[in-house]
Amino acid sequence: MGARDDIDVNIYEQAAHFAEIGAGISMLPRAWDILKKLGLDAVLEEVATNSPSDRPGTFAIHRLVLCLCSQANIPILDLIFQFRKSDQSEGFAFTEVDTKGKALYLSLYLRAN
Amino acid sequence: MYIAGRGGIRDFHHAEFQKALLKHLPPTCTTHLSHRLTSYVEGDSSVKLNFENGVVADCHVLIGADGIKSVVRSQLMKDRADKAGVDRSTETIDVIWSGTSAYRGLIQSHVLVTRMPNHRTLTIPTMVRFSSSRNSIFFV
Repeated sequence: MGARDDIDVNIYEQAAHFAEIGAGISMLPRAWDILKKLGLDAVLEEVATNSPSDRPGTFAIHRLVLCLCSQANIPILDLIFQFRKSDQSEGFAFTEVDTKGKALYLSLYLRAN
Repeated sequence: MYIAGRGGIRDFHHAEFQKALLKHLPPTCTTHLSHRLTSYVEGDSSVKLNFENGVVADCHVLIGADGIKSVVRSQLMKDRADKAGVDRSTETIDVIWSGTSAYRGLIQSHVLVTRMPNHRTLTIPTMVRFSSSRNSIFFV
């Protein structure tokens, strides 16, 4: 930020002070690219509650995904979302979303049994 | 199946994110608190801003980042509707409730570990559960 010193920016905020409230923000790649261009990526990495590479859960990736990854020479991905059908006594996961570093993938999840 | 571009997802707490941005504002950037926009007037070469506290300001470019009940968006849409000769009462300018409610609750993870040590939420980062009448999302 501040690369252009010929543009004055005024930020108007209705609140009397910047409050310590609010929930979580999940930022997708496009928004992150903009912040990177503003030179804020290093600053924001410090306050991020995760980074795509430190996700737990590689253990939870389905065999099919691992197989596809090895065939396509894609690095093993980290699970970020699991979609689960829950309106029956035994629910089951049907889709997972995985991410690592440079890509976000949606993988179809097949029921194990 | 490839669904998005580069970089993965990053999570932040809203307050921490805002603090980091404010700390790194350049000297050309000024913040004005207690300024609630009530209306704007588009001129030939500038935009006049009217605030609830009586302040009037000018700018060349107005960016409305004022949330779901955005004054900027609402006025822009109404002005466009008037200019186009469209009956604004039939346009979806104001926010309309979809009829769906969402509830949010917090459980301390150590309590969950004690009571349900094998709960899926503890090992799966984010879980979206679907059922016929309601959906829920869990994360740690």
